[in-house]
Amino acid sequence: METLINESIKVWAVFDCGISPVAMNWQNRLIKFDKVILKTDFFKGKTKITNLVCANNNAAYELEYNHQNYSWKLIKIMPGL
Amino acid sequence: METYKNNARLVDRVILHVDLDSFFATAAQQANPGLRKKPVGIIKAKGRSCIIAASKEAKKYGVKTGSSVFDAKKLCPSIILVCAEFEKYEDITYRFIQICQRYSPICEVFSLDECFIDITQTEKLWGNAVSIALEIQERLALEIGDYLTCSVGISENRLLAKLASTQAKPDGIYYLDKKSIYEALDKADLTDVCGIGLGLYRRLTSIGIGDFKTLRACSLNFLYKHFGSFWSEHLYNLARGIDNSAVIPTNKIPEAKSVGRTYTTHRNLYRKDEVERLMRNLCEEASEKARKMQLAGRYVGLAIRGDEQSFYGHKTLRSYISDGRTLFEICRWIFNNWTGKYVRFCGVTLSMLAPSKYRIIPLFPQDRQRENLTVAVDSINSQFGDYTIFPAQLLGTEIIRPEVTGFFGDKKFRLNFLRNS
Repeated sequence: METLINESIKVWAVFDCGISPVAMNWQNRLIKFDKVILKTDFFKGKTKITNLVCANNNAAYELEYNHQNYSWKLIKIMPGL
Repeated sequence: METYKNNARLVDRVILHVDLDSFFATAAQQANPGLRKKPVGIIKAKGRSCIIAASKEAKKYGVKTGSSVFDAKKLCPSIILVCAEFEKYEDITYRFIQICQRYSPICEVFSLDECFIDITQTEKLWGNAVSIALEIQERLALEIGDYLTCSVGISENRLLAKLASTQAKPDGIYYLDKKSIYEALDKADLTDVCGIGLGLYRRLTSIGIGDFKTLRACSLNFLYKHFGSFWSEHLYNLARGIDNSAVIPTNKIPEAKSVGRTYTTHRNLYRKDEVERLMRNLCEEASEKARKMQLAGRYVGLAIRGDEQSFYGHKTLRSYISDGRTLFEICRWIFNNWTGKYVRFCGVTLSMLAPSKYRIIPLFPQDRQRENLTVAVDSINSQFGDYTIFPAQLLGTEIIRPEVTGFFGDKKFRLNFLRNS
Protein backbone atom coordinates (compact mmCIF):
# COMPACT_ATOMS: atom_id res chain seq x y z
CA MET A 1 0.00 0.00 0.00
CA GLU A 2 2.84 2.39 0.79
CA THR A 3 6.62 2.46 0.62
CA LEU A 4 8.55 4.21 3.37
CA ILE A 5 11.42 6.32 2.04
CA ASN A 6 12.46 8.90 4.67
CA GLU A 7 15.09 10.64 2.53
CA SER A 8 16.11 14.28 2.19
CA ILE A 9 15.06 15.74 -1.14
CA LYS A 10 14.99 18.98 -3.11
CA VAL A 11 11.57 20.50 -3.71
CA TRP A 12 10.39 23.38 -5.87
CA ALA A 13 7.56 25.08 -4.07
CA VAL A 14 5.55 28.28 -4.17
CA PHE A 15 5.30 30.03 -0.81
CA ASP A 16 2.24 32.18 -1.24
CA CYS A 17 -0.61 31.91 1.27
CA GLY A 18 0.78 28.54 2.35
CA ILE A 19 3.13 26.06 0.73
CA SER A 20 2.40 24.58 -2.69
CA PRO A 21 5.03 22.10 -3.89
CA VAL A 22 5.38 22.03 -7.66
CA ALA A 23 7.98 19.31 -8.20
CA MET A 24 10.73 17.38 -6.42
CA ASN A 25 14.07 15.95 -7.31
CA TRP A 26 14.45 12.46 -5.93
CA GLN A 27 17.22 10.08 -6.98
CA ASN A 28 18.04 12.33 -9.97
CA ARG A 29 14.48 12.18 -11.19
CA LEU A 30 12.23 15.17 -11.53
CA ILE A 31 8.74 14.37 -10.30
CA LYS A 32 6.01 16.93 -10.91
CA PHE A 33 2.95 17.24 -8.69
CA ASP A 34 -0.55 17.93 -9.90
CA LYS A 35 -2.17 18.77 -6.57
CA VAL A 36 -1.83 18.80 -2.82
CA ILE A 37 -4.37 16.42 -1.33
CA LEU A 38 -3.71 16.97 2.37
CA LYS A 39 -1.76 19.48 4.40
CA THR A 40 -1.29 19.22 8.16
CA ASP A 41 1.03 20.93 10.62
CA PHE A 42 2.55 19.69 13.82
CA PHE A 43 5.21 20.82 16.22
CA LYS A 44 8.31 18.95 17.25
CA GLY A 45 9.27 21.00 20.26
CA LYS A 46 9.28 24.54 18.88
CA THR A 47 9.96 23.45 15.31
CA LYS A 48 6.97 23.62 13.02
CA ILE A 49 6.75 20.74 10.59
CA THR A 50 4.32 20.77 7.66
CA ASN A 51 3.24 17.45 6.28
CA LEU A 52 2.04 17.53 2.68
CA VAL A 53 0.60 14.75 0.58
CA CYS A 54 1.12 15.64 -3.09
CA ALA A 55 -0.19 13.61 -5.98
CA ASN A 56 0.19 13.18 -9.70
CA ASN A 57 -1.28 10.62 -12.08
CA ASN A 58 1.19 7.94 -11.04
CA ALA A 59 1.48 8.16 -7.27
CA ALA A 60 0.99 10.17 -4.09
CA TYR A 61 4.01 11.43 -2.14
CA GLU A 62 4.10 12.37 1.51
CA LEU A 63 6.57 15.20 2.09
CA GLU A 64 7.67 16.93 5.25
CA TYR A 65 8.86 20.52 5.38
CA ASN A 66 10.86 21.71 8.36
CA HIS A 67 10.20 25.41 8.96
CA GLN A 68 13.34 25.85 11.06
CA ASN A 69 16.02 24.64 8.65
CA TYR A 70 13.93 24.84 5.45
CA SER A 71 14.63 21.22 4.63
CA TRP A 72 12.38 18.77 2.81
CA LYS A 73 11.99 15.06 3.35
CA LEU A 74 10.21 12.45 1.27
CA ILE A 75 8.47 10.30 3.86
CA LYS A 76 6.58 7.76 1.78
CA ILE A 77 5.18 6.95 -1.62
CA MET A 78 1.64 5.68 -2.03
CA PRO A 79 -0.57 4.65 -4.96
CA GLY A 80 -1.97 7.59 -6.93
CA LEU A 81 -5.47 8.94 -7.26
CA MET B 1 -22.21 23.03 32.15
CA GLU B 2 -24.82 25.74 32.24
CA THR B 3 -28.23 24.13 32.58
CA TYR B 4 -31.67 25.41 33.32
CA LYS B 5 -33.42 23.30 35.92
CA ASN B 6 -36.91 23.48 34.62
CA ASN B 7 -38.85 21.66 31.99
CA ALA B 8 -39.79 24.68 29.94
CA ARG B 9 -38.25 25.27 26.53
CA LEU B 10 -36.05 28.33 26.20
CA VAL B 11 -36.41 30.90 23.42
CA ASP B 12 -36.20 29.12 20.06
CA ARG B 13 -32.60 28.36 19.33
CA VAL B 14 -30.90 27.03 16.22
CA ILE B 15 -28.16 24.54 16.95
CA LEU B 16 -26.01 22.74 14.41
CA HIS B 17 -24.24 19.50 15.17
CA VAL B 18 -21.42 18.85 12.73
CA ASP B 19 -19.92 15.39 12.77
CA LEU B 20 -17.03 14.22 10.59
CA ASP B 21 -17.97 10.85 9.06
CA SER B 22 -15.74 7.91 10.15
CA PHE B 23 -13.11 10.50 11.00
CA PHE B 24 -9.87 8.58 11.60
CA ALA B 25 -10.51 6.20 8.71
CA THR B 26 -11.53 8.92 6.25
CA ALA B 27 -8.51 11.01 7.24
CA ALA B 28 -6.29 8.00 6.48
CA GLN B 29 -8.06 7.59 3.14
CA GLN B 30 -7.57 11.30 2.44
CA ALA B 31 -3.85 11.03 3.13
CA ASN B 32 -3.39 7.81 1.17
CA PRO B 33 -5.45 7.65 -2.04
CA GLY B 34 -4.66 3.93 -2.31
CA LEU B 35 -6.97 3.29 0.64
CA ARG B 36 -10.00 5.04 -0.85
CA LYS B 37 -13.15 2.99 -1.43
CA LYS B 38 -11.56 0.08 0.44
CA PRO B 39 -12.45 -1.33 3.87
CA VAL B 40 -10.00 0.24 6.30
CA GLY B 41 -9.58 -0.36 10.02
CA ILE B 42 -7.51 2.03 12.11
CA ILE B 43 -5.44 0.53 14.91
CA LYS B 44 -3.45 2.45 17.49
CA ALA B 45 -0.08 0.92 16.59
CA LYS B 46 1.36 -2.13 14.90
CA GLY B 47 0.45 -5.29 16.77
CA ARG B 48 -2.56 -3.80 18.57
CA SER B 49 -5.72 -5.84 18.62
CA CYS B 50 -8.47 -3.22 18.72
CA ILE B 51 -10.01 -1.32 15.81
CA ILE B 52 -10.35 2.30 16.94
CA ALA B 53 -12.14 3.42 13.76
CA ALA B 54 -13.59 1.77 10.69
CA SER B 55 -14.15 3.25 7.24
CA LYS B 56 -17.62 3.47 5.68
CA GLU B 57 -16.74 0.47 3.51
CA ALA B 58 -15.65 -1.60 6.52
CA LYS B 59 -18.79 -0.62 8.45
CA LYS B 60 -20.88 -2.21 5.69
CA TYR B 61 -19.34 -5.56 6.68
CA GLY B 62 -20.27 -5.00 10.31
CA VAL B 63 -16.88 -3.82 11.57
CA LYS B 64 -17.38 -1.27 14.35
CA THR B 65 -15.24 0.95 16.53
CA GLY B 66 -14.03 -1.28 19.35
CA SER B 67 -14.16 -4.52 17.32
CA SER B 68 -11.14 -6.76 17.79
CA VAL B 69 -8.82 -7.24 14.81
CA PHE B 70 -9.64 -10.96 14.94
CA ASP B 71 -13.40 -10.30 14.65
CA ALA B 72 -12.88 -7.62 12.01
CA LYS B 73 -10.86 -10.02 9.83
CA LYS B 74 -13.54 -12.64 10.24
CA LEU B 75 -16.26 -10.19 9.16
CA CYS B 76 -14.20 -8.61 6.40
CA PRO B 77 -11.16 -10.65 5.30
CA SER B 78 -10.02 -7.88 2.91
CA ILE B 79 -9.84 -5.23 5.64
CA ILE B 80 -6.68 -3.09 5.51
CA LEU B 81 -5.25 -2.24 8.91
CA VAL B 82 -3.64 1.17 9.16
CA CYS B 83 -1.79 2.64 12.16
CA ALA B 84 -3.30 5.85 13.54
CA GLU B 85 -1.48 9.12 12.89
CA PHE B 86 -2.77 11.25 15.73
CA GLU B 87 -0.74 14.33 14.79
CA LYS B 88 -2.57 14.49 11.45
CA TYR B 89 -5.97 13.94 13.04
CA GLU B 90 -5.36 16.65 15.61
CA ASP B 91 -4.43 19.21 12.98
CA ILE B 92 -7.44 18.29 10.83
CA THR B 93 -9.62 18.78 13.92
CA TYR B 94 -8.09 22.18 14.52
CA ARG B 95 -8.78 23.24 10.92
CA PHE B 96 -12.30 21.81 11.14
CA ILE B 97 -12.97 23.85 14.31
CA GLN B 98 -11.70 26.97 12.57
CA ILE B 99 -14.19 26.40 9.74
CA CYS B 100 -17.07 25.92 12.21
CA GLN B 101 -16.11 28.99 14.25
CA ARG B 102 -16.53 31.22 11.20
CA TYR B 103 -20.31 30.88 11.47
CA SER B 104 -20.70 31.69 15.14
CA PRO B 105 -18.40 32.42 18.08
CA ILE B 106 -20.55 30.03 20.14
CA CYS B 107 -18.96 26.86 18.86
CA GLU B 108 -18.41 23.93 21.22
CA VAL B 109 -15.79 21.31 20.44
CA PHE B 110 -17.56 18.19 21.67
CA SER B 111 -14.97 15.62 20.67
CA LEU B 112 -12.18 15.25 18.13
CA ASP B 113 -14.66 15.05 15.25
CA GLU B 114 -17.80 16.80 16.50
CA CYS B 115 -18.83 20.39 17.01
CA PHE B 116 -21.99 22.09 18.21
CA ILE B 117 -22.61 25.56 16.77
CA ASP B 118 -25.23 27.89 18.21
CA ILE B 119 -26.25 30.01 15.22
CA THR B 120 -29.36 31.55 16.81
CA GLN B 121 -27.96 35.05 16.48
CA THR B 122 -25.79 34.64 13.39
CA GLU B 123 -28.03 32.52 11.18
CA LYS B 124 -29.44 35.44 9.19
CA LEU B 125 -25.93 36.69 8.31
CA TRP B 126 -25.43 33.57 6.21
CA GLY B 127 -28.92 33.05 4.87
CA ASN B 128 -30.28 30.17 6.90
CA ALA B 129 -29.17 27.11 8.81
CA VAL B 130 -29.22 24.83 5.78
CA SER B 131 -27.03 27.20 3.74
CA ILE B 132 -24.54 27.29 6.64
CA ALA B 133 -24.51 23.49 6.74
CA LEU B 134 -23.94 23.30 2.99
CA GLU B 135 -21.13 25.85 3.21
CA ILE B 136 -19.41 23.92 6.02
CA GLN B 137 -19.53 20.76 3.92
CA GLU B 138 -18.14 22.60 0.90
CA ARG B 139 -15.37 24.31 2.88
CA LEU B 140 -14.36 21.04 4.50
CA ALA B 141 -13.84 19.48 1.08
CA LEU B 142 -12.14 22.57 -0.32
CA GLU B 143 -9.90 23.61 2.57
CA ILE B 144 -9.01 20.31 4.24
CA GLY B 145 -9.59 17.42 1.88
CA ASP B 146 -12.04 16.40 -0.81
CA TYR B 147 -12.51 12.91 0.62
CA LEU B 148 -13.52 14.16 4.06
CA THR B 149 -17.25 14.46 4.58
CA CYS B 150 -19.43 15.59 7.44
CA SER B 151 -23.02 15.14 8.49
CA VAL B 152 -24.93 18.10 9.86
CA GLY B 153 -27.93 17.92 12.15
CA ILE B 154 -30.02 21.06 12.67
CA SER B 155 -32.51 21.48 15.48
CA GLU B 156 -33.47 23.57 18.46
CA ASN B 157 -31.15 22.07 21.05
CA ARG B 158 -27.98 19.98 21.40
CA LEU B 159 -29.79 16.71 22.06
CA LEU B 160 -31.96 16.96 18.96
CA ALA B 161 -29.20 18.36 16.76
CA LYS B 162 -27.03 15.36 17.60
CA LEU B 163 -29.92 13.01 16.96
CA ALA B 164 -30.54 14.74 13.63
CA SER B 165 -26.92 14.35 12.53
CA THR B 166 -27.08 10.59 13.08
CA GLN B 167 -30.05 10.56 10.67
CA ALA B 168 -28.02 12.56 8.16
CA LYS B 169 -25.08 10.12 8.01
CA PRO B 170 -23.10 9.94 5.82
CA ASP B 171 -22.48 13.30 4.17
CA GLY B 172 -26.00 14.66 4.62
CA ILE B 173 -28.00 17.40 6.27
CA TYR B 174 -31.04 16.70 8.43
CA TYR B 175 -33.34 19.34 9.82
CA LEU B 176 -35.34 18.12 12.78
CA ASP B 177 -38.30 20.44 13.36
CA LYS B 178 -40.61 20.63 16.34
CA LYS B 179 -43.31 18.51 14.74
CA SER B 180 -41.03 15.55 14.14
CA ILE B 181 -39.29 15.44 17.54
CA TYR B 182 -41.29 12.54 18.97
CA GLU B 183 -41.16 10.66 15.69
CA ALA B 184 -37.36 10.95 15.57
CA LEU B 185 -36.98 10.00 19.23
CA ASP B 186 -39.23 6.96 18.84
CA LYS B 187 -37.11 5.73 15.95
CA ALA B 188 -33.91 6.08 17.97
CA ASP B 189 -32.51 3.66 20.53
CA LEU B 190 -32.16 4.90 24.10
CA THR B 191 -28.36 4.75 23.85
CA ASP B 192 -28.34 6.87 20.67
CA VAL B 193 -28.66 10.08 22.65
CA CYS B 194 -26.10 11.75 24.85
CA GLY B 195 -26.84 11.22 28.52
CA ILE B 196 -27.86 7.57 28.49
CA GLY B 197 -24.88 5.35 29.03
CA LEU B 198 -24.73 1.60 29.37
CA GLY B 199 -25.32 1.64 33.14
CA LEU B 200 -28.42 3.83 32.94
CA TYR B 201 -29.68 1.85 29.94
CA ARG B 202 -29.42 -1.41 31.93
CA ARG B 203 -31.35 0.12 34.82
CA LEU B 204 -34.04 1.39 32.44
CA THR B 205 -34.47 -1.95 30.71
CA SER B 206 -34.58 -3.74 34.05
CA ILE B 207 -37.79 -1.86 34.86
CA GLY B 208 -39.25 -2.42 31.41
CA ILE B 209 -38.30 0.85 29.72
CA GLY B 210 -36.73 -0.09 26.38
CA ASP B 211 -37.57 2.88 24.17
CA PHE B 212 -38.43 6.57 24.25
CA LYS B 213 -42.15 5.94 23.82
CA THR B 214 -42.28 3.92 27.06
CA LEU B 215 -40.00 6.43 28.81
CA ARG B 216 -42.32 9.26 27.81
CA ALA B 217 -45.28 7.39 29.26
CA CYS B 218 -43.61 7.32 32.70
CA SER B 219 -44.58 10.03 35.13
CA LEU B 220 -41.99 12.21 36.82
CA ASN B 221 -42.96 10.63 40.17
CA PHE B 222 -42.35 7.13 38.85
CA LEU B 223 -38.94 8.13 37.50
CA TYR B 224 -38.10 9.93 40.76
CA LYS B 225 -38.80 6.73 42.71
CA HIS B 226 -36.38 4.72 40.58
CA PHE B 227 -33.69 7.22 39.64
CA GLY B 228 -33.69 10.04 42.20
CA SER B 229 -34.10 13.75 41.66
CA PHE B 230 -31.33 14.44 39.14
CA TRP B 231 -31.79 11.52 36.77
CA SER B 232 -35.60 11.57 36.88
CA GLU B 233 -35.69 15.13 35.59
CA HIS B 234 -32.96 14.37 33.06
CA LEU B 235 -34.82 11.33 31.70
CA TYR B 236 -38.18 13.11 31.71
CA ASN B 237 -36.69 15.90 29.57
CA LEU B 238 -34.78 13.51 27.28
CA ALA B 239 -37.95 11.61 26.40
CA ARG B 240 -39.56 14.87 25.31
CA GLY B 241 -36.55 16.21 23.44
CA ILE B 242 -35.99 18.99 25.98
CA ASP B 243 -32.39 19.99 26.50
CA ASN B 244 -31.68 23.49 27.71
CA SER B 245 -27.94 23.04 28.12
CA ALA B 246 -25.94 25.83 26.56
CA VAL B 247 -23.35 25.44 23.83
CA ILE B 248 -20.03 26.17 25.50
CA PRO B 249 -17.56 28.03 23.29
CA THR B 250 -13.90 27.03 23.26
CA ASN B 251 -12.84 30.03 25.36
CA LYS B 252 -15.26 29.05 28.14
CA ILE B 253 -14.33 25.39 28.60
CA PRO B 254 -14.24 24.75 32.37
CA GLU B 255 -10.84 24.42 34.02
CA ALA B 256 -9.39 20.91 34.20
CA LYS B 257 -10.22 19.09 37.43
CA SER B 258 -7.57 16.45 36.96
CA VAL B 259 -4.64 15.60 34.74
CA GLY B 260 -3.84 12.01 33.88
CA ARG B 261 -2.75 9.44 31.41
CA THR B 262 -3.91 5.88 30.87
CA TYR B 263 -2.38 3.15 28.76
CA THR B 264 -3.39 -0.34 27.74
CA THR B 265 -0.34 -2.49 26.99
CA HIS B 266 0.24 -4.76 23.97
CA ARG B 267 0.91 -7.73 26.22
CA ASN B 268 0.59 -8.74 29.84
CA LEU B 269 3.28 -7.27 32.08
CA TYR B 270 4.35 -9.85 34.67
CA ARG B 271 7.52 -8.24 36.01
CA LYS B 272 7.38 -5.49 38.60
CA ASP B 273 10.14 -3.46 36.91
CA GLU B 274 8.19 -3.47 33.63
CA VAL B 275 5.09 -2.12 35.36
CA GLU B 276 7.16 0.47 37.20
CA ARG B 277 8.70 1.68 33.96
CA LEU B 278 5.26 2.04 32.41
CA MET B 279 4.07 3.86 35.52
CA ARG B 280 7.08 6.20 35.41
CA ASN B 281 6.39 7.00 31.76
CA LEU B 282 2.75 7.85 32.52
CA CYS B 283 3.74 9.89 35.59
CA GLU B 284 6.21 11.91 33.50
CA GLU B 285 3.55 12.67 30.92
CA ALA B 286 0.83 13.55 33.42
CA SER B 287 3.13 15.77 35.45
CA GLU B 288 4.54 17.50 32.37
CA LYS B 289 1.02 18.29 31.24
CA ALA B 290 0.21 19.72 34.68
CA ARG B 291 3.35 21.87 34.55
CA LYS B 292 2.48 23.11 31.04
CA MET B 293 -0.93 24.14 32.39
CA GLN B 294 0.87 25.75 35.36
CA LEU B 295 -1.00 23.52 37.77
CA ALA B 296 -0.03 21.28 40.66
CA GLY B 297 -2.10 18.66 42.43
CA ARG B 298 -2.26 16.92 45.79
CA TYR B 299 -4.40 13.87 45.02
CA VAL B 300 -2.72 10.96 43.28
CA GLY B 301 -4.76 8.12 41.84
CA LEU B 302 -3.50 4.88 40.34
CA ALA B 303 -5.72 2.53 38.35
CA ILE B 304 -4.51 -0.94 37.42
CA ARG B 305 -6.26 -3.71 35.53
CA GLY B 306 -4.99 -7.21 34.99
CA ASP B 307 -6.14 -10.79 35.36
CA GLU B 308 -9.85 -10.16 35.88
CA GLN B 309 -8.87 -7.83 38.69
CA SER B 310 -9.27 -4.10 38.83
CA PHE B 311 -7.52 -1.97 41.38
CA TYR B 312 -7.76 1.70 42.25
CA GLY B 313 -5.60 3.21 44.91
CA HIS B 314 -5.15 6.83 45.86
CA LYS B 315 -3.35 9.10 48.26
CA THR B 316 -4.12 12.66 49.27
CA LEU B 317 -1.02 14.68 50.05
CA ARG B 318 -0.55 17.69 52.29
CA SER B 319 1.32 19.70 49.71
CA TYR B 320 0.92 20.22 45.98
CA ILE B 321 3.23 18.37 43.60
CA SER B 322 3.91 18.63 39.88
CA ASP B 323 7.10 16.71 39.24
CA GLY B 324 7.19 13.28 37.67
CA ARG B 325 9.54 11.68 40.15
CA THR B 326 7.48 12.51 43.25
CA LEU B 327 4.32 11.43 41.45
CA PHE B 328 6.00 8.16 40.53
CA GLU B 329 7.22 7.53 44.09
CA ILE B 330 3.64 7.88 45.36
CA CYS B 331 2.26 5.65 42.60
CA ARG B 332 4.91 3.04 43.43
CA TRP B 333 3.82 3.15 47.05
CA ILE B 334 0.17 2.68 46.04
CA PHE B 335 1.14 -0.11 43.64
CA ASN B 336 2.48 -2.19 46.55
CA ASN B 337 -1.15 -2.97 47.39
CA TRP B 338 -1.74 -4.63 43.99
CA THR B 339 -1.97 -8.40 44.32
CA GLY B 340 -2.69 -9.42 40.73
CA LYS B 341 -0.45 -11.64 38.59
CA TYR B 342 -0.03 -9.32 35.67
CA VAL B 343 -0.91 -5.84 34.46
CA ARG B 344 -2.65 -4.98 31.20
CA PHE B 345 -3.80 -1.43 31.92
CA CYS B 346 -2.38 1.39 33.97
CA GLY B 347 -3.69 4.89 34.63
CA VAL B 348 -2.19 7.72 36.65
CA THR B 349 -4.20 10.74 37.80
CA LEU B 350 -3.19 13.94 39.53
CA SER B 351 -6.15 15.91 40.81
CA MET B 352 -7.25 18.46 43.45
CA LEU B 353 -5.44 20.89 41.20
CA ALA B 354 -4.41 24.42 42.05
CA PRO B 355 -2.17 27.00 40.36
CA SER B 356 1.45 25.89 40.66
CA LYS B 357 2.29 29.02 42.66
CA TYR B 358 0.61 27.31 45.64
CA ARG B 359 3.41 24.75 45.76
CA ILE B 360 5.70 25.02 48.74
CA ILE B 361 9.00 26.66 47.83
CA PRO B 362 11.74 24.04 48.40
CA LEU B 363 13.80 24.80 51.49
CA PHE B 364 16.68 22.36 51.21
CA PRO B 365 19.38 22.64 48.52
CA GLN B 366 18.75 19.07 47.36
CA ASP B 367 15.06 19.83 46.69
CA ARG B 368 15.91 23.11 45.01
CA GLN B 369 18.38 21.29 42.79
CA ARG B 370 15.70 18.82 41.77
CA GLU B 371 13.27 21.61 40.95
CA ASN B 372 15.90 23.37 38.86
CA LEU B 373 16.53 20.12 37.05
CA THR B 374 12.81 19.80 36.22
CA VAL B 375 12.76 23.38 34.90
CA ALA B 376 15.83 22.71 32.73
CA VAL B 377 14.45 19.43 31.37
CA ASP B 378 11.10 21.09 30.58
CA SER B 379 12.79 23.90 28.75
CA ILE B 380 14.91 21.49 26.63
CA ASN B 381 11.93 19.27 25.87
CA SER B 382 9.75 22.22 24.91
CA GLN B 383 12.49 23.42 22.53
CA PHE B 384 13.38 20.09 20.92
CA GLY B 385 10.30 17.90 21.46
CA ASP B 386 8.83 15.61 24.11
CA TYR B 387 11.19 13.12 25.73
CA THR B 388 14.37 14.60 24.22
CA ILE B 389 15.54 14.23 27.81
CA PHE B 390 13.86 11.58 29.90
CA PRO B 391 14.50 9.65 33.13
CA ALA B 392 17.20 6.97 32.89
CA GLN B 393 14.64 4.48 34.17
CA LEU B 394 12.97 4.61 30.75
CA LEU B 395 16.17 3.75 28.86
CA GLY B 396 15.72 0.76 26.57
CA THR B 397 11.94 0.90 26.64
CA GLU B 398 9.60 2.04 23.93
CA ILE B 399 8.55 5.43 25.21
CA ILE B 400 4.82 6.16 25.29
CA ARG B 401 4.31 9.63 23.89
CA PRO B 402 1.45 12.07 24.38
CA GLU B 403 -1.40 11.48 21.98
CA VAL B 404 -4.83 12.82 21.34
CA THR B 405 -7.90 10.68 22.06
CA GLY B 406 -11.14 10.54 20.11
CA PHE B 407 -13.03 11.77 23.15
CA PHE B 408 -10.74 14.82 23.25
CA GLY B 409 -10.99 14.91 27.04
CA ASP B 410 -8.02 17.24 27.33
CA LYS B 411 -9.40 19.73 24.79
CA LYS B 412 -8.93 22.67 27.12
CA PHE B 413 -5.20 21.92 27.26
CA ARG B 414 -4.83 21.04 23.59
CA LEU B 415 -6.83 23.94 22.17
CA ASN B 416 -4.96 26.46 24.32
CA PHE B 417 -1.68 24.86 23.41
CA LEU B 418 -2.50 25.00 19.69
CA ARG B 419 -3.61 28.61 19.98
CA ASN B 420 -0.37 29.59 21.69
CA SER B 421 1.94 27.78 19.30
